[in-house]
Amino acid sequence: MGKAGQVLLALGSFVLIVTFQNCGQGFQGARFSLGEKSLMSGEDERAAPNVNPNPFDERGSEPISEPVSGPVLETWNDLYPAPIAAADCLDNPDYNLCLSYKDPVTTNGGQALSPALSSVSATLTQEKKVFSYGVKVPATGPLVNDNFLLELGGLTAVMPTSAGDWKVRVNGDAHHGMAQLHSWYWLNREISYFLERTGTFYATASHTQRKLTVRPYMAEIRNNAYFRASDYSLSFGYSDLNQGGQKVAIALDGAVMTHELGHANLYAANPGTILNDRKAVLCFSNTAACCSNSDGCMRAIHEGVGDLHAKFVFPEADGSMADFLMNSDAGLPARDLDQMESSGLTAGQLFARSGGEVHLFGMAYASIWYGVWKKAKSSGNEKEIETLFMEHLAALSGDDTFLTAYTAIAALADELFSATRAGQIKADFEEGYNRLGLAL
Amino acid sequence: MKRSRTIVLSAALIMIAAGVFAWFLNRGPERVDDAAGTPGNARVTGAVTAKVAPPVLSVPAVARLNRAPSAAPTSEQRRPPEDVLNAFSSSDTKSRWKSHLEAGRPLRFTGGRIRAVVGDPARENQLLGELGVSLGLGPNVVFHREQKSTGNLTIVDQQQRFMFESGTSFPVFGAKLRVFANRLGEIFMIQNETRTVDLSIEDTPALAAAEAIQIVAAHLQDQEFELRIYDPSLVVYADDRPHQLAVQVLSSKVGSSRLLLVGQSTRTVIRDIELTRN
Repeated sequence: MGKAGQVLLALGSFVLIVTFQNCGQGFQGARFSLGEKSLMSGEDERAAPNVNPNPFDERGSEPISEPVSGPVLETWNDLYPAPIAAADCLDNPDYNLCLSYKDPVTTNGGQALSPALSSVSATLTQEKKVFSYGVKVPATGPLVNDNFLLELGGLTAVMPTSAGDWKVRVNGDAHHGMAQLHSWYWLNREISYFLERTGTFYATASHTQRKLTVRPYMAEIRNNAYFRASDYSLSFGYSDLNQGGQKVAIALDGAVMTHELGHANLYAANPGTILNDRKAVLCFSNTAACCSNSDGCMRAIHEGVGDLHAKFVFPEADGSMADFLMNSDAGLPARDLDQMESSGLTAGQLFARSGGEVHLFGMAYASIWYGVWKKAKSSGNEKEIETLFMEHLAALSGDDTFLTAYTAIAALADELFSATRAGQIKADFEEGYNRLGLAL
Repeated sequence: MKRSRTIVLSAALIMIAAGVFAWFLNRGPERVDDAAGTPGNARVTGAVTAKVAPPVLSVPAVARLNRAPSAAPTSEQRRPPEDVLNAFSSSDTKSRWKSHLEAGRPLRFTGGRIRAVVGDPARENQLLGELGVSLGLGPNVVFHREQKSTGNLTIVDQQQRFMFESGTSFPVFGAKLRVFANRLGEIFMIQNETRTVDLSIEDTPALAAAEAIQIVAAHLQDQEFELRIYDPSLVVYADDRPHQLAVQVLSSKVGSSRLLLVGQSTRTVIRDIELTRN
């Protein structure tokens, strides 16, 4: 089977997932009820975090690594540094918070997690391996700052362990403290990443005058996560896809989280990208949205922009999406930027094969940007493309297509860079549009 | 005779009820700091509306109303928008403005450069007025200004509102001009999301909140949605004909949130927008 065939197979699989992922989600009583009764069966309330002073001390005789000068976050309102690789993070006192990079599957070397990394089945060995990126953060909680508001429903807010660190276990934690920490850190890191490198991020309190509500674990949401403009919120559910019958917190999947914050960022850049989007139509039994032609539509741009946020925030990882959600190194193959590029598919072919479904078809727009970004990265200039990307979000409107968006990209390139550099960047974009068979 | 008295009495009661609701709905336009159609946090059901959290991008401190010219020129009299922009451009720049069309409508203007306008209220109003005329916006347009900065640019949003003879104005749904200026304050791009509104549009709010919610409930055919009146409750809808005032209703359930506009003339759902992105 050729690469195009593989992508076709993946597209078909993903369309099924997109079509059916919301099955069984019904409105059950009060909104956002996250009461303990609604959590997964078999949970052990007694096994909540903060009980054991050091839940990772089962092998306390392990050698502790030499002290290192790692990243430090002084206050919860500061710019969040990137955690650094530390294989012994959970045993290393230099770090008081240990995270995955991108997601636990990626951090596990691309190996699927078996048993699943759930509050019921996660093992100590697993947790030590996948939470191996360390950072020093404030020693006191709760997790509060200007940009985000954690809304936990019936869950207990994660707090430092009695040992004074944030090294909480996944196993036995019915309150999903690790999901709270992971979403909190990486969402803040996403804002910090773009502010440091481009000077711009729209989904911030300084730009919108309000906090973005984050619901790190909603037991009502199956195999899904989303941004909702009406109450300006991000919600993360659980995944039971390839998880051996277990439910894992999607908030542990950094690519999914940063994708959703990408939606919020584009909406905050211009609400018209949702309110004035009239080119998408319902499709696949009215459970999904599709562009109506191969020129693309804003709804697909929204998805492509979300994927690009995820890619940029994790520049050292591959271009796959939702690896942890799918418990597979391939993630959602039809959403893999590298595969999309190597497949040689044009936008027209992608449109025909995906039916224009916005997540899949948005890959066309993302692929153009990804190609330009990779080329710039090869010469160390990717920050310029990230700056152009961030500024162009405010210039998109609900009426835009893949094609019309270029008019904003070109105008901004002329404004932000020297004439020579702008000319090169525009030529790179034109090459990308040509690769996708989109005639400017 | 008895029957006609009944009809008259019924009509009078309906008019009184309509008047009460009209008064209630008409309170919305007093606010001029609502971003047109920007979802806020209205949390009201049934026939009561409350003013709650401000919309996402509201910056009341810099609010200012700008009036468009008082006469609506015919299409023959109108200058192309590019000509208007070129006339404002500095004489020492060789760049010329170009209009980028989408579906026959100017979506974006790029290629030119206009200096010393952003931050100069008189020049800004002059540009806005002349550009508004060239876009065919007509005399009943007012704009609500918001200015924001990114790391590299200044963005000035001019939210479009439609002003009735009575002096009340309502936001035009989704309508604005967005002006992009560089660090020197030079305008280099303008994004057009304005709408031309029929002057014959009825200005009396006459659709009760409860009725709007009933219409939406029938449209959705799904009792699992929670329905509320949105803020602002009334907008001018000019995306499709007939142009009309519309009540904004929000429907929510896990996994989906939709903004539905109920036209007070047609008494139907005229727009249904999914506000969730996954």
